[in-house]
Amino acid sequence: MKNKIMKKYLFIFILLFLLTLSYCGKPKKELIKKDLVMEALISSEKEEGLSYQQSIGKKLFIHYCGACHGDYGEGNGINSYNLNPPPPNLKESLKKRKAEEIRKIIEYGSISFHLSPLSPPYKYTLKKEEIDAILSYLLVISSSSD
Amino acid sequence: MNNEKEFSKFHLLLFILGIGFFLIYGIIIYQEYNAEWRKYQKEFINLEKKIKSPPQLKIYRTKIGIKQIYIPDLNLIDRCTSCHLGMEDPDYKNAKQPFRTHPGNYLEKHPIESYGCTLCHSGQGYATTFKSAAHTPIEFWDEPMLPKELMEANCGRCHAGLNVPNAYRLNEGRKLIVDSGCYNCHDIPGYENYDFIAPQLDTEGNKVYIGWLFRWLKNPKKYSPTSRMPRFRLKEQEIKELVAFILSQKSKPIIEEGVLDLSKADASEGKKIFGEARCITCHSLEGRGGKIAPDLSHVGSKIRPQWIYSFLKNTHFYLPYTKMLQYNFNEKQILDLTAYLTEELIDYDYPPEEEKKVQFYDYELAKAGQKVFENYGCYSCHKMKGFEKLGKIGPSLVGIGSTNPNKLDFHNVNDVQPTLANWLFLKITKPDFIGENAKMPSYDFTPEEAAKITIALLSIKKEALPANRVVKAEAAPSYKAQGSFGKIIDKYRCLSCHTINSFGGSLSTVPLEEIGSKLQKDYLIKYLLNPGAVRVNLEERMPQFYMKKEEAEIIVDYFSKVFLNDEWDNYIVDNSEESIKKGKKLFDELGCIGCHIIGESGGYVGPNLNNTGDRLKAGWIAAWLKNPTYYNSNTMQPNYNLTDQQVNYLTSFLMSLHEK
Repeated sequence: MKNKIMKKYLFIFILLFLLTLSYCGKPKKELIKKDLVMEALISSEKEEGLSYQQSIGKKLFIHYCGACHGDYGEGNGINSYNLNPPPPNLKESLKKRKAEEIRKIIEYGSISFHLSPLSPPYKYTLKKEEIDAILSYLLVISSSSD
Repeated sequence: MNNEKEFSKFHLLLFILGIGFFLIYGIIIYQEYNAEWRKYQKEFINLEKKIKSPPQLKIYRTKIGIKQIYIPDLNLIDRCTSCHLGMEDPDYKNAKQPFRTHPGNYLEKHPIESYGCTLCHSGQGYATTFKSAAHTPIEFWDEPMLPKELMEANCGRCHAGLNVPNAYRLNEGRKLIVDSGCYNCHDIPGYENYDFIAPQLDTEGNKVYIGWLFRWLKNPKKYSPTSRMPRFRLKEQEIKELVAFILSQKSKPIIEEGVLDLSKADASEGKKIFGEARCITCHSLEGRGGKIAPDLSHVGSKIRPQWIYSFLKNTHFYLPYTKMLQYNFNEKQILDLTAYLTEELIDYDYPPEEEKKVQFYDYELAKAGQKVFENYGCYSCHKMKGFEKLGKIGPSLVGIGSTNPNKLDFHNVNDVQPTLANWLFLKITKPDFIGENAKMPSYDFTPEEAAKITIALLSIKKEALPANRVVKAEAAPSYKAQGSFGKIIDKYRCLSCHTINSFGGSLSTVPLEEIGSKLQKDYLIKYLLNPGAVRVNLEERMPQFYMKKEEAEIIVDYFSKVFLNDEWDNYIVDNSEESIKKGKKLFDELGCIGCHIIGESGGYVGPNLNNTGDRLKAGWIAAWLKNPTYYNSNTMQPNYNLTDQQVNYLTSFLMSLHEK
């Protein structure tokens, strides 16, 4: 009789022991399998070497600025030929400007640096995040070597 | 004796187990005191001493302890801030992780105490270790944290609609769902109001060449790369049957082959009309032109001249739901256009003379074709009599974003992480990866597009959030013009491009509901009778309808009595010489000439302003100058933050401009 009870206790005891032991276990190792969605999202940006923010900035730049400055900021947009003075090649002209100066030009227009008034101010048109994005793309343009 | 021996054995075991327990609990207590989060908190307190000044520390000092956010209505308990301690404090923006300030300004509108963390990031909010919070993917884990690339999916849980602020991937994914017509085959919450995406086929038998239909069903993209029809992986026999069925659809009679005489028609004249009527605004030729209507580069190898003739003559009889307007062409114009379309816009690999030779009489097959039509769910996109009662062919996507990844069939794909996102991605890019019998057609999306659609689908969760949390989609507007005005609006399908109270197409940037207060009456009539380009640069111009004068008068009369804005109409502009002079000065100072033409010079971006005084109304100019993005969120016209006085000067100057 006693024996039976003891065995029962022993069983419960061992079970508890195993249970507490399991607490010390470690979760599975990390995966090395492919993540297709991530690859697709990252590679589309990698192609041009742009981050997400920069690629958004590029889209906005093309929409708002591309008509005069050209899609890559080279100053050859479709409307550039109507302008006097013509828009500069941003790859060159932005090299000597600091980020905060470029932001000022986007926000308050070229007139804020006593240049021609033809590049308009966008502070009250675009959201702050949008200006941040355009600025990040312009910094890519200005630091490109060619 | 025996009993005693057993008893001592038991004692020994008990002793060993006891020590075991003691050790294990010792380890547990030790671990708890050296828990990851305690380590981080100690580190953070050291950092805090460096970053904050003593007076600041006097007011607030981080204390050791689990931090927890509880949001009852979302049933959300997050302990993430136990380690991510600097989230809301900009002083930590250069600190190392996990203490760094939350990037962007997301927390301004979504403060942690009312949104928590896992609502946007997913993952295990209860967890207090890096691993168990599921920061990185763990195989078959239901709710891992979303990497930042996919996180916009969670924006979509609360934000319905197509324009979620700063969620570009999600927005593009949702737009792709709309443009591809996914909602025709699947039930997708939020896409209930969209109509059939494809044209009706009830008169197709009179319309297309047999050879073309064969090639089209094999691969629509080969005929037109911009085609919205996906590629069904049909067997040769199935194509034959389907062709027979489609060609048996001849519900509407067309002009007979012998009756239509194109011998005197002039294709080069037709080409001129094609340009003048601005067909290119909606249709494309060799990749150039509009996207809302089919590509016409090789239409001559596709459609019979008899059908084109009949269709141009009586457009809405043949396709009642088309976006295309009914042109007021005369007989000669229709013949010339038909000649141009069927003689010059042909695919030289398949000239019409050859196409006509392909004969196909086996209408026995049509019955079998009907089965194929049903089996592949063609009726889901092409409205067809007799199939109305069949449900959507594809499975419902309600709650698809909450699917348990363990229940997904990855078939033979073994080298891919078995997450829901990857499964959706595979299904979208390669619908038959789960087996040859998959019915979903191939859309040939680019990987980037597929990933964006995946994000949009991941946002469709099973559990409904409390109503006050949901940012509703813009209500689907509806507008149906009545009476003689309504008839004309319908005839010219104005709402294919324009909107009235947000209802209609997106091609035009000019909504009509207040047009009577924007444009002058005489100008409107003149413009409708002979629409020109207000902006030189624009490809998508209003077509030449060859509208009758009575029709234009009815439209403009209605515009000038109903589609008004009283506030603009009551605007008073100072017409004095001085005011005009000041306006001119302002115009020069602001550099408006960069985009607008005045006199001979200026830019091509905005409208030519030379006839503004004959074209626009003062109230509208003032309202537009004050806040252009309010009226057109996409406009390139910047908001110059002008004062009311400056606006008045500019308006008086612009209103003084008249065409000489």
